[in-house]
Amino acid sequence: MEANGWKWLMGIGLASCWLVGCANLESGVPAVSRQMIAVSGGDTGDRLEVGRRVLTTRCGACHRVYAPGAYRSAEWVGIVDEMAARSKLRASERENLLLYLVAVERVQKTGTGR
Amino acid sequence: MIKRIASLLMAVPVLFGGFLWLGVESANAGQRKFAYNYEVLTAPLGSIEFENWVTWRRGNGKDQGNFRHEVEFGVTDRLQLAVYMVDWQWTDAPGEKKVKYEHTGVEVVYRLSNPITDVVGSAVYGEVKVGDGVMAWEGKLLLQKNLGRLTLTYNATVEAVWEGSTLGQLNERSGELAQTVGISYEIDAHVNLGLEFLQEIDLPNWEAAGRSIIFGGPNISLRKGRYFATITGLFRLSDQADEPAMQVRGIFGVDF
Repeated sequence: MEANGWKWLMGIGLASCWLVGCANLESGVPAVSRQMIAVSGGDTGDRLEVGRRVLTTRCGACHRVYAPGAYRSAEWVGIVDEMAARSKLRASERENLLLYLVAVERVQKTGTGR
Repeated sequence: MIKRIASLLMAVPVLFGGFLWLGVESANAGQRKFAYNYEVLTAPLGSIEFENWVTWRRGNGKDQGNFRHEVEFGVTDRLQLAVYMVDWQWTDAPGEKKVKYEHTGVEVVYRLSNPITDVVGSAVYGEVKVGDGVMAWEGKLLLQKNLGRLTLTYNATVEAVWEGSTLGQLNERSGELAQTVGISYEIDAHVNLGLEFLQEIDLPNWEAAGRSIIFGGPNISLRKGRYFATITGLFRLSDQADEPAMQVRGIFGVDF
């Protein structure tokens, strides 16, 4: 292969590593915390995890993931209802997604942190 | 051969109808932002997507179109299976005008990590294609990071091809290394704009690396409801005059 080709190969590889390395920033999708479990009624850890996973795999497959704090709880209900119908989320997925979004929004609003 | 392609294509509407029926209970698959880069997020469990690919290459007095009709299934939330029902090729060059069946194949993608919550999203990809006197295997490592409206992807690819007069006599072997980089910005929930880069390095007979060919160009992705389309135009950035000067790939998909 031409020397120039290897330079391109290494250049693209290094640029990609740099981009991916720089990308290690806050995702805006907080991990499930004790506060979230508390504000969502307790014993909801597994359901909150499922809700977070639905947000980052199902919603994020088509469009950017909106930070849970971007909308108020009442607004999330309408948004999730509309999107759940469009993406054919199962009832349990819709409920767990909403549980997670509302829990994060409540925790952030009350300032209890993670 | 044209008859064979025609008969295979006639199966498409039948399968299409079948998916519409199945679609009552299935979910949306992921909608592609790129045409040359694969993304890490796989189709969710139960999803079915029908995709049509068109790749048009032009240069050196030759036009060539490659077509693919593919069905994608979400086997689990991490594992995705796709079937290439038929890949076929159209060529228009001085003294050469033909349409030929290329291959049929299977593709598997397994997601290892999440591009939104993990440091880097990653997946592994495997593909096997079989055609008239040709068999090919392709492996990829897929990396991706989503940063709000921005999606960054990188794919590293190794391809092995065995060719011969029949499937029982695959005497010639060759390979290719390739890597792609993509960056896409979400304008709104329905439109993404971006750039894609592709580098290909031939490995004739797996003995020595051949030339490195670099392409780059703009990308647009549109989606509305169950439908999406993504188109990328790539222009040759390296100086091999005997290679296509440009290539355009469009992928049109519908979720069931």
